[in-house]
Amino acid sequence: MTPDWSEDLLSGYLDGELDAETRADVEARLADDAAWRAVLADVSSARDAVRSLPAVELSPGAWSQILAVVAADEPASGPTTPGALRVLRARGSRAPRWAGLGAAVAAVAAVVAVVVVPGPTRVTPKVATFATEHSARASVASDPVSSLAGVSVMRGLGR
Amino acid sequence: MIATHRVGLSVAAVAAVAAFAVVGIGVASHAPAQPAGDGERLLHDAASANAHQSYAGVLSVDWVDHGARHHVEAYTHVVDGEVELGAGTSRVLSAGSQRWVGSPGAWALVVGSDSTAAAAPSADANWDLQTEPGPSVAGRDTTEVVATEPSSGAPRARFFIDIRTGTLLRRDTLDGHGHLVREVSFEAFLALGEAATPVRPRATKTEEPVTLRSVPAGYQGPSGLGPGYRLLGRYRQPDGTVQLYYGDGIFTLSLFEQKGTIDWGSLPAGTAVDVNGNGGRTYETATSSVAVWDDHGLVVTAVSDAAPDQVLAAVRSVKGAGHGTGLLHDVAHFVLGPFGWD
Repeated sequence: MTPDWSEDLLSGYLDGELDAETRADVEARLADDAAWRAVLADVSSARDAVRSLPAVELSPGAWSQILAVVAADEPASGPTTPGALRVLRARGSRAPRWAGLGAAVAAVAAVVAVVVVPGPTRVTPKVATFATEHSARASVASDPVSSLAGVSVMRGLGR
Repeated sequence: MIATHRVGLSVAAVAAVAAFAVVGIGVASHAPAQPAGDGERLLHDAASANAHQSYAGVLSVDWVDHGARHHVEAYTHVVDGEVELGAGTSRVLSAGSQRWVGSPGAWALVVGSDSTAAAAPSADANWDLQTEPGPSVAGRDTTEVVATEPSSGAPRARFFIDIRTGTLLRRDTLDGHGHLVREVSFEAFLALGEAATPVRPRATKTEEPVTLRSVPAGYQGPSGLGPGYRLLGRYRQPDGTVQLYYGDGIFTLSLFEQKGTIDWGSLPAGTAVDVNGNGGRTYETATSSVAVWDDHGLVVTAVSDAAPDQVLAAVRSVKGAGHGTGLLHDVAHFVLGPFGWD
């Protein structure tokens, strides 16, 4: 019998937690149903995103920020354990895991992006250097004298 | 010629140039006389006309930046196609496909061989070319080749080619109103006979870029710009800057891309411009028109020998340039992509 559609079922499928009969049913359903395959791809992406997160040593302060962000995303009546940690720890839970996992990944990665990833680098374009590089490149396939005459007199603008 | 104040060498310096060359003066070896009528062929041949010539000369370089006119002079010394240009202690050398900058004893190799570079379109692929008898340049008769923009009918470049040797003696770049933007012209041309050995630089350091097979993730690299520019090569400079090099048969253009945001306070005021909704500035230098702008986490510097209005038209032709690129986009995509939220 084909099992009922369930994101958690697909998560269990990816985790290798299904028995052989249920696994075969899921695979048959995946072969026939594009919607199931799309959901499976989403669940798989979320798992890959978690696994590809860089190993970063965060300060206690950074962890506090992460937990605060996750806690703020919890329903008021929810458990006191922050949502992301609950999702990651509740291996036996059959709550909609991939959605929770996705939210947790988003929250954690967003905080990591803010805390760990440096802001945009301030850049001073080396205009004179670039002008020289360009003229030198252009002179290879054209008249070198007229192409390079200006290079020899370039001044300023950050060479 | 643009009327300017003058800095640097005088025409009389050609004698010193000849002394620098340490050669006997005689009749130059030269290519056959070039009849007018085939602009594309004249320009093609002028690109390699130095290969079998030896001469010394003084060149004037004139350009307009921010309404101010500038003039400088440089000397050149060509020995069988190997070219040395200089002003003061600055030197540029051209030998085969290699290009060196620096000063005697302190050279840097900035362009080496690149077997992957694509050929530029022919000059008449994107331009209407007309030829006519030109004025005398440095005392030599010329054929003038005018490159006209097909869409507007505006002349954008004039080339004055030595009838006797096929050498390009003067090149003018014009804006859309026909005003001169930049001019490089021989003021003196001294054919040399038995020539001394040309300068053979030894690399004291290399700043040669690495050739890239593809545009790295997070950078933009359209295969074409505007109506005629074609992507010819991709390079990574020693400091990590990615260079995309384009050509349209008459002009060339490079996009230099760096991750980050511009430190505007470190740059001159220039002319404020808009590039697809992004604030930028333009500058004119002795060699090129330059546009700099921020583009969603990328700092892009466009450099071209074309007029500034042409450069802006080319870079503005890239619809959505830079959208969806850069570090912040990478992070956002990483965070939101798996959930379909970006």
